[in-house]
Amino acid sequence: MIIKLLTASSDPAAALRRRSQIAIGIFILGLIGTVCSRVFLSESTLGDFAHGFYSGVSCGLMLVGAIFFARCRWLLAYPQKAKAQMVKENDEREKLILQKSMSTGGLITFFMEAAALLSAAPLNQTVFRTLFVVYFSEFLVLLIVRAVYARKL
Amino acid sequence: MRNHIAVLRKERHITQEELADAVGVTRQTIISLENGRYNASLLLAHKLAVYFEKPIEAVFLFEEELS
Repeated sequence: MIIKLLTASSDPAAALRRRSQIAIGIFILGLIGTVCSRVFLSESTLGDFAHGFYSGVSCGLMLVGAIFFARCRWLLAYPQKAKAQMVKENDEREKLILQKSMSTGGLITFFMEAAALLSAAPLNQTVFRTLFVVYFSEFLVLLIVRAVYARKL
Repeated sequence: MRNHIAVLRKERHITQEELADAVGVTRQTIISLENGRYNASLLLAHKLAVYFEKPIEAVFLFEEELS
């Protein structure tokens, strides 16, 4: 979604070429993470969980980058399909569906996080503090974004 | 908001896919418009009116006008 926002263009081919470049960047990021986790983490004092987490995320980034790159190149080879893809991405009904989904999903998640915060308090202080910071940050971001849009629109 | 999109489209013997391509939206959007489940934005309403060579009021019917 963020990549689509960053690479928006009236020319489908230009947008897809930019996305291909971003896909290469994601792949390289994953490759760097994989190499670092093999070379440096093996000698570190981090636990098995952290070791596995870094390896897994790095491999995942490489896979996502590779698939994303392949899809962009395939769409570039078929201009009609690329155009259809761009039409779908810019379709106003699709945008409205996405907007409403994020809004409703965000609201539900907001209440679920509040429930998690309340239930974590007597069980684990570290989890409680982490959730509290995340919850407070989300609320702060919401206020800031609302102020920005109130000024802009 | 009701509309005459389906009627106007059939008068011109064009498919939903062709109409969608002409105004730059997906076929699903045209289907939702014709079923009255989705209200077009002003920009899309204008594009449809231009395509059908009719004024917007001839393509879209506002509920207040019906009652």
